[in-house]
Amino acid sequence: MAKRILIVEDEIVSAMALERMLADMDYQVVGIITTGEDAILEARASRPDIVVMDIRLAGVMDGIDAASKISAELAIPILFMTGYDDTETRSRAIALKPLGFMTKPIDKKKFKDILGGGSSP
Amino acid sequence: MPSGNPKKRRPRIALSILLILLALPSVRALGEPRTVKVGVFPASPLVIVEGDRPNGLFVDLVDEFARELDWKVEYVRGTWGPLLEMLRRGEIDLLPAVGYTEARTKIYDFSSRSVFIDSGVVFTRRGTAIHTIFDLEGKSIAGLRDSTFTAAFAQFIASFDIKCDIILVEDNASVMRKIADGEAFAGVCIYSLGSELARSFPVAITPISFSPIGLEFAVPKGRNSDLITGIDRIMAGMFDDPLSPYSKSFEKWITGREPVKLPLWLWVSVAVVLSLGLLLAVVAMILRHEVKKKTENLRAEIEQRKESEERLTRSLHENETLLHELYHRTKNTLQLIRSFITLEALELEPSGDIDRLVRKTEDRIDAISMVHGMLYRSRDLSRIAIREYVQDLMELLLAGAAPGEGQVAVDLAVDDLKLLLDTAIPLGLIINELVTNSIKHAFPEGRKGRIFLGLAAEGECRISLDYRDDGIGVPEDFDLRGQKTLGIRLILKIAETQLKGAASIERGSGLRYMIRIPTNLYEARV
Repeated sequence: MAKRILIVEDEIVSAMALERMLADMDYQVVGIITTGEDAILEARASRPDIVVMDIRLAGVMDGIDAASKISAELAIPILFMTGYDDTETRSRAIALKPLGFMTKPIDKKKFKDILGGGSSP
Repeated sequence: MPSGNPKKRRPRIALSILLILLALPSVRALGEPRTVKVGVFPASPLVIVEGDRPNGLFVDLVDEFARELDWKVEYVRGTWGPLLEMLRRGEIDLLPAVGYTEARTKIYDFSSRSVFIDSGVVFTRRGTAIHTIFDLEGKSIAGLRDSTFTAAFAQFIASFDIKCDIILVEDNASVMRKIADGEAFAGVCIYSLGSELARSFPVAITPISFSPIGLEFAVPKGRNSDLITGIDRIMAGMFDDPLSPYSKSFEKWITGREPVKLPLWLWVSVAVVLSLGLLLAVVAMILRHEVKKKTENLRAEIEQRKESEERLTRSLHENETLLHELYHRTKNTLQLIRSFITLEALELEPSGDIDRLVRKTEDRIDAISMVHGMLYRSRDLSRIAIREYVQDLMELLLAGAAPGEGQVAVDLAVDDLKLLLDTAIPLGLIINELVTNSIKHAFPEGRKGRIFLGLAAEGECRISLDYRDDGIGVPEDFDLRGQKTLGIRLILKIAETQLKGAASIERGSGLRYMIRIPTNLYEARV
């Protein structure tokens, strides 16, 4: 059974491209969400196997805050992706012991390797 | 043998008894003090009548006589003229400070030496110029009635053939009052008393003085010779003795006037006022020092703030410059990518699919690039003017789509709104897809048509996009959400998923999209 992935990304075109990429890799995208608050609600509802989380999001909550709640509450692995790879952001994200931390643009092979690390379909 | 005839002796005895009887008023029982009525009148500092008890040079001497000669003194207060008359009639026994004149020796007996030499002086109102006796010609002059000085003044002016109207008053204070009230141009007064009175009236002494005269004690003519004898005896030893009561009193009242004794409360008040003044001065000094210190601190703080403000302004300016540069570079980078795609496509075999891919990608890149271009030109680094953006974008899309000349007309009704970059770019992409769809599908085979785009604010946090074309429309069973084309999927995903808005269509003469999106989803990031 294909792994179910929730995409949290506020740039819809990027999210749609990622969705297509994941579909090509035989993953099932359970949804595209653009805010941290909605991501928590959707994670509770759809219980994905992995959450691919952008760090900078629309709304008040950023991706790390949302991931922190999802991890703590639902123990769902998080794969961070960001366009801003600064030390502080990376430190905050790594403190949550995520599945991975990727900078945009997404490298398909690296992405596949990370998702495949024990979580491949 | 008895001497003389007793008959002859009888008249002598009778004369002796008569003499004794005549002398009786002045004879007092052994041990009883001699009662002496002394007239006193205002003549400070010679005779001072203010207060409970008279005072002054002559009064000090009377007190000394009373001690030495066992007098019981009764002071009779009055004014000069009436007292002089009372002395003449023997109603008082002694009058001090009487000017010695030959005329008066016929009425009074005087002590042998003058106690004080004084002279007459002319006083006038302060500010009035009197230089010589001639300035008094025709003026009214006040003078004390029965005063030897008033009489002497009359003789004095007569000797200069000067005529004055002399106003007689009852005491020296009245002389000054007449001058002060303007009833008299000037007044005559004894120098010593006049100088004292001048302190209480707005009068000033003039250079005109006359008739120096000795002031002595006087008794009625032929009476109270014992008083004169006693006075002369006591006074004889006092004139040359610097420690005598006379010398001391003279120094006290005439040469070395004791300073006016101020009451204790006044001294205390002065001391308190001075202390308060000193305290206030010290406090003012401390406050001034504090104010100076604080002013310096404030000045330093202002300088620091000024420097900080300048640094901030510089930094802001630098940041603005950087952001402008960034927008510029982003736009150029997007154009570079667009050019790569165009060039790469030219390397491929010509194909309708490739042309569409290239054109759509170019349009989408342009829609984004245009926003960065506007931000680069704008002073506002976060928001763009949406009306200008939509106009430019429509022109670009219609030109790029290359429909026939005049085939598609465009009506725009866009509110003058400013939208954040995060809202403007997705909105631009939606418009791009809508226009591209209309041009591609609504007006086939050169069909002429019209596109209307309205963009209006709905309240403060929402805008509505009303997009219509009068093209061929869509079939009745057209399912918007079931469409697989990227264009329509992009419209719905951007409007509903990314911008949290709502999209719907209406069929009629053509196709109408109604899209409502919130504008408060994002906050300004720069």
